[in-house]
Amino acid sequence: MAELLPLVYTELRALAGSYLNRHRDGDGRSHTLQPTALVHEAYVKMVEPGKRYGREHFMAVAATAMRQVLVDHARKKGTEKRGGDRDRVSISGLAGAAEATQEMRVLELHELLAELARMHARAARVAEMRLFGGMTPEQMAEVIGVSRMTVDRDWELARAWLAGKMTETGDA
Amino acid sequence: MHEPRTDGGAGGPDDAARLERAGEIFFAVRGLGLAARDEAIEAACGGDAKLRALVMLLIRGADAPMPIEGLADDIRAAADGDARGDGDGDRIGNYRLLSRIGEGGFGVVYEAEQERPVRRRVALKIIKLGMDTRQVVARFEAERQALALMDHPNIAKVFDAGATPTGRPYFVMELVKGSPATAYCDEHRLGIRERLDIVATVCEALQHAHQKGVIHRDIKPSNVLVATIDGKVVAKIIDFGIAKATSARLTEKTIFTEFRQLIGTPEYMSPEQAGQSAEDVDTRTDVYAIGVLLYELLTGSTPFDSERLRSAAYGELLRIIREEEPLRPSTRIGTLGGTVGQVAALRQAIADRYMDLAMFAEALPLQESALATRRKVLGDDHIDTLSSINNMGVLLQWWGKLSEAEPYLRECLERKRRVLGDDHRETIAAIANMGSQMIYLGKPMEAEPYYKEALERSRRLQDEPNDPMINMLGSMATLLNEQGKYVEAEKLNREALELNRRAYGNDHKATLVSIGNIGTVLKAQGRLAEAEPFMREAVEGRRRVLGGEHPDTMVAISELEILLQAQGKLDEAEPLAREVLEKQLKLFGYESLDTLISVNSLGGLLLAKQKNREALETLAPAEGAARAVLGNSARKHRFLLNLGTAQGRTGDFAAGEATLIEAQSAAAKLRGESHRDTRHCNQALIDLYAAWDAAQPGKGYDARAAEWRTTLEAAVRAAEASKK
Repeated sequence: MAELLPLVYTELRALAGSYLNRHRDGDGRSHTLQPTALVHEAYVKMVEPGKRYGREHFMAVAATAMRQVLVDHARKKGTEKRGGDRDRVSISGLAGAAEATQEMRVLELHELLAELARMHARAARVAEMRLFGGMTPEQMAEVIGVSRMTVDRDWELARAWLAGKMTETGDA
Repeated sequence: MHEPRTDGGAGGPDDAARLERAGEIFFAVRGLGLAARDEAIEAACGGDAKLRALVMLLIRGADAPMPIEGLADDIRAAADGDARGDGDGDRIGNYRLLSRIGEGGFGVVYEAEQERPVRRRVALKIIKLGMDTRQVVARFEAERQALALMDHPNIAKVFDAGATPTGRPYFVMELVKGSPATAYCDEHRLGIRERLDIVATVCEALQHAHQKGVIHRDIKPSNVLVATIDGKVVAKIIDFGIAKATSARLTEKTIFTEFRQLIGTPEYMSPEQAGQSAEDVDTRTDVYAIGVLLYELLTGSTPFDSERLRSAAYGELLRIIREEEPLRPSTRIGTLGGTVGQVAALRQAIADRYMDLAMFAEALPLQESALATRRKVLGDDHIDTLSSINNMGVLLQWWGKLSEAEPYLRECLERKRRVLGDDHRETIAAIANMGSQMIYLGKPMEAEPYYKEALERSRRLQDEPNDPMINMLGSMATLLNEQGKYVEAEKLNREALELNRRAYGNDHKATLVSIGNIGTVLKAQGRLAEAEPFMREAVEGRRRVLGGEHPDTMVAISELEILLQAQGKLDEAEPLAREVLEKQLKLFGYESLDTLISVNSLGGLLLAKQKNREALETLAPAEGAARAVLGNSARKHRFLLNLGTAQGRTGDFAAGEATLIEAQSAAAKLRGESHRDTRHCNQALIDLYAAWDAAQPGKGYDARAAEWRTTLEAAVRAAEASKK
């Protein structure tokens, strides 16, 4: 299996490594998952016989893994006293109530995504791949097997719904 | 800390249906104005309060920030080995906004940093709300290929367009630091000569754009930015493609009517624009605007008074522009201190130099009346009449009105032959003009006899080398080259080189062109080793004369690099290929035809050297641009062939397979199953499956290799059969 898609492996590992580094505890101890463990998990999910594995599919799996890591991290953070600024996930465009920490935002988004998935599974998947996997519309269209236009529309709908919901709670 | 959601038991089948319906309404009403939108929502939702609330939520959400958006970019940037800060500041797509550098009625301009595929500083212009974003972006996309064809040092590149998360259109452009032309000239107290130089630069840049089929439509001082760089005054036109995409001029000076958006900033609006609809706008619009710019730079004010135009009613405004004669610059000249005579002389000089661009409208009626008078007073065969006939023909020809030009050109030639004799210099020029006419008409075979005759006669005259003669040699050589008559073309190019050296010396642009042309014809004959010194000289000369970053220099380097590749001198070719690509990326980004040609050339070279990983790193970042810019040309399937090969050789078999299959079918569709390009794709697929089978035996990849081998063999047989 080691010879399979070495490029994607490298990319995924770099992704996981840098990502987990950003989520280190104050004492520098990494928690939740080791980069290799994360990649291994992604591999296990990927390797189903008879399927074609493109780079896109790998990224899609990586997006799910990223989401999980982030949520685990946020849950843990939520029960701990928050550390220094360098521990914070950098999230641009932070808005809404000043009290809302980024960790809370992540948890909120996680739950909203689950709620959206019950009503519109595909749109929720698109949002996950885009927000946590940084995938382009073309890549998402390839993975889901729909047109690029459908992906765009799903994303616009998911984004509007998620942002609308989050604004609602922020204002409340 | 965080409450699970319990509102209304979301997630049931009813909710799914409601969200779907709300989505439909949301997409339908999004482009509407506020009042119309509320009305439409009311009508669509009826009494369904839950549905209405959901639609309103979506509408609020569309304009609200998405707190976590940009996180994915941060992650990817970090994964790409990027040690940069942690994503503070706003971000739009691939662009990080750094600082606000301009603001106006159109919206806001930021300095921004693009991160992928290349890191560079750009200007990002966000258009204010009130336009249909989709239409704006679609119109930009339609013009994109034409925009990509423009490579000019005095035109700021437009790289990209898109929509912000809140749905406002934005444009990404080359970052230009400078002041509007008028402000710069006044601040630096430039004299008439320097001001004219700026306008001359703008003329040349515009001519380049017009030749590529791009009209600016909003030329004015604030779109001509001027700065001092290394002690030189440098002017750049910005915002190409943007006026067209937004369909109206987006400035503080824009005015609107009840019926349609008026295309034009009144002070710079041409009479055609004032009289007609948007579809009639052509290159003359820019030409007129340049005239106004020139007027303003010389006199300090626009031809028509701004206050008066502002306060005029719409109909009156159009009438002023269409019918009134502005004050002559000479009567208005105030602060510049030049005499009226000086201004007139300079104006004449600029008119001569840019006759094709700026003066056509004025020159044509003058020529017509001059010709009519001369015919009547002097007779048809008088030398001055002949000269007028010639001028009419050439003027019309330059302006592209070929069918109107031809009768004048023919009459001129016929009379000159009779009156002056075949060997007169004037007659020879008329013969050459007929040759050019045939070239412009796309009839090279009919051009050849004219050129041949003109050439023979002018050789017999044994004049000092002169421009028309050298031009003729060049045109004739190009013609022969295109017809595959390389030996004759070579002879003429060598003659042209000789004349150029005598007339202009070794370092003149024209001499260097001849040197490069000799290299090209030698290469076309397969005499690669002989071509090499010429191509090297062309490169070195252009580096010396034009500088390393001049487009012509880069073309020469590319040609040398391709020649070296063809000779198998890959180690010598590689640094050249890298040099060109690096400069092109810096100057134009990936979305330029020239850049993509270089990407593919370097990629192919690296593949030939088995530097497969480097080949992939070269090709992969260009994929999006290649798909957008190359259309369905042969360049596209060649690019895909290299990309797929690189993917396969670096172990990404599945991606390589998909890319190569796409390349193969594109090549087969464009060129046929048995064409060489298609066969190369077949071979690449065979190699890929063989490697895949070696890596993962027993999965049937060997069978697929065999299938493609059968296809390839059939293609080879077909190719051989068609040769016989």
